[in-house]
Amino acid sequence: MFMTDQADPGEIAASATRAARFQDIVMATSRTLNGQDLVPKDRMALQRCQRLLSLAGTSDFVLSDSATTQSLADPSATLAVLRAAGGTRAQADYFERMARTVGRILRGNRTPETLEATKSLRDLFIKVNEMSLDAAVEGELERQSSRLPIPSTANSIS
Amino acid sequence: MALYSAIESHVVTRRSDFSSAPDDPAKRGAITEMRTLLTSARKLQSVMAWIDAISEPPLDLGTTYFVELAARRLVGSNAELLAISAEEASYSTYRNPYEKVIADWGDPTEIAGDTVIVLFLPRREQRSGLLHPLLVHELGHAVCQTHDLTSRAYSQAIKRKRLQSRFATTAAAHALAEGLLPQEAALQIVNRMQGWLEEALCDAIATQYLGPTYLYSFVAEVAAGNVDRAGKKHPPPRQRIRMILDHLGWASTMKAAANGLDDWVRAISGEHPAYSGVEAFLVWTLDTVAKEVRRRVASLVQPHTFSPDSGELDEIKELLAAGIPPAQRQSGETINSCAVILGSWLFALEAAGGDVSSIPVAADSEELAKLLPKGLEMTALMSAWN
Repeated sequence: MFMTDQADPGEIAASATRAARFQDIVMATSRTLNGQDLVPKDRMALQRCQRLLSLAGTSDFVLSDSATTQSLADPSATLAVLRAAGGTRAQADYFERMARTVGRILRGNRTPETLEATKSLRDLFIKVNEMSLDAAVEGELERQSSRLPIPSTANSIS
Repeated sequence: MALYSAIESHVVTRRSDFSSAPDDPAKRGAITEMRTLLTSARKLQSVMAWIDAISEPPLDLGTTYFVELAARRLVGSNAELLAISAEEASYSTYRNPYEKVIADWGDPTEIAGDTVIVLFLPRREQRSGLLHPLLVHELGHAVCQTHDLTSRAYSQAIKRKRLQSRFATTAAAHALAEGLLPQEAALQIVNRMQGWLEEALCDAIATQYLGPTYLYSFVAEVAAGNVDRAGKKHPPPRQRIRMILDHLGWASTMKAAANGLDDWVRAISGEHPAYSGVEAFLVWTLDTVAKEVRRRVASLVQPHTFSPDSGELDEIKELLAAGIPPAQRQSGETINSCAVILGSWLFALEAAGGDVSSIPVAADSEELAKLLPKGLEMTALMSAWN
């Protein structure tokens, strides 16, 4: 874009694919909690989730390479929603622990501690998903209100 | 169509996922995701309203030929252009906006090899032919993506030790000030840095292709606003003007036609206001990599670099003064289409007094609104004929 940062259909589409990826994580953790085997799609979702949580759990200020920033759709927006969903616990070490939980799930560990941590992980992504919906609806309402007819007395200088 | 097929295919998958969901939280999650998808689809529908405008092309034929030629030269022969006039206040662009969704949910082979570029121009500037060169900057975004320019320039930039150290300090302060996770703060700055780098690359592409014309069109667009206001993805206009001037170097033709404007532009770009926080880091970064940006663009755009010829520009001025669309030189040679636009700018600036206030007057010239598109149309036809 030339001068302004306007709404981009690519970004709208990206928020829909992000929500789908969050739901894939919810499905995979639900299967784990219910003692079902993980399907390949679950494993892929969990691997992606692990990468995301590891990123959130990094305490250094890393200057990511192009490959990292391109592999996640708007990674800073994803981390922002993750932080918001994590509430007061949302520190780097909390996400690092979550990333380790995902590693244990992927290795087939089903101890009571792992299952307890898996439930927290699923709760986190259920919340992430709900917050994504809220943000999408809020954005839509803002867009609609900004398109209300301009009063005939209004002037515009730009 | 590929987008609709991708969404439909995703919904079918989700229906089957729903029936096999192991418990209520998974089912509730599926419903939440579908509601998000529905909201996104509604938004997409509303931002696609411009599709209706396809039946009424906003650009005159001459400018259309000019922009299509630039797209073929800079982006590639498969570039498919769509110009739309919109209510937005500024020029903008999208390239393959639904590529990611189609890759995730649909059949990517359906769109493989296509480069769809949607160009938006402000409706109020639809007849301002002297501003349409800004579309070359917009094409620049497609050039950057097609030729991987932004990620390469970024990867090169982050190898600098000093940049790495300044980045760490800036990101730490940003995280603390905004209450962000360390990597969230880092990625926010990285996103902006990539956005700013791409803008600088697009400015350099337009400067290399159009010469001083791009500076005039750019100044016309930003002069009335705050030249120190930085955007999320845009460097402050003052820095951009400075980079364009540094790139032009040889623009002696400017001074002759518009001495006052030339002084103003140089004064503006010579000032270095102090920025703070993330913006200070980004301004410094861009200044640091400016030469590298120019070098990268020059090697790509080299065959299409526009170097003004003062004899050609004088002939264009004479033709315009006589009310003739500039297309052919006295020698019979076809005039370069970039020279047609630059000559028109210089003619209009000179007629309007040549100081900074002559910029908006020149851009609104009624006479040029007729002569310039005709000149571009004729040069395109003559080039094709020859």
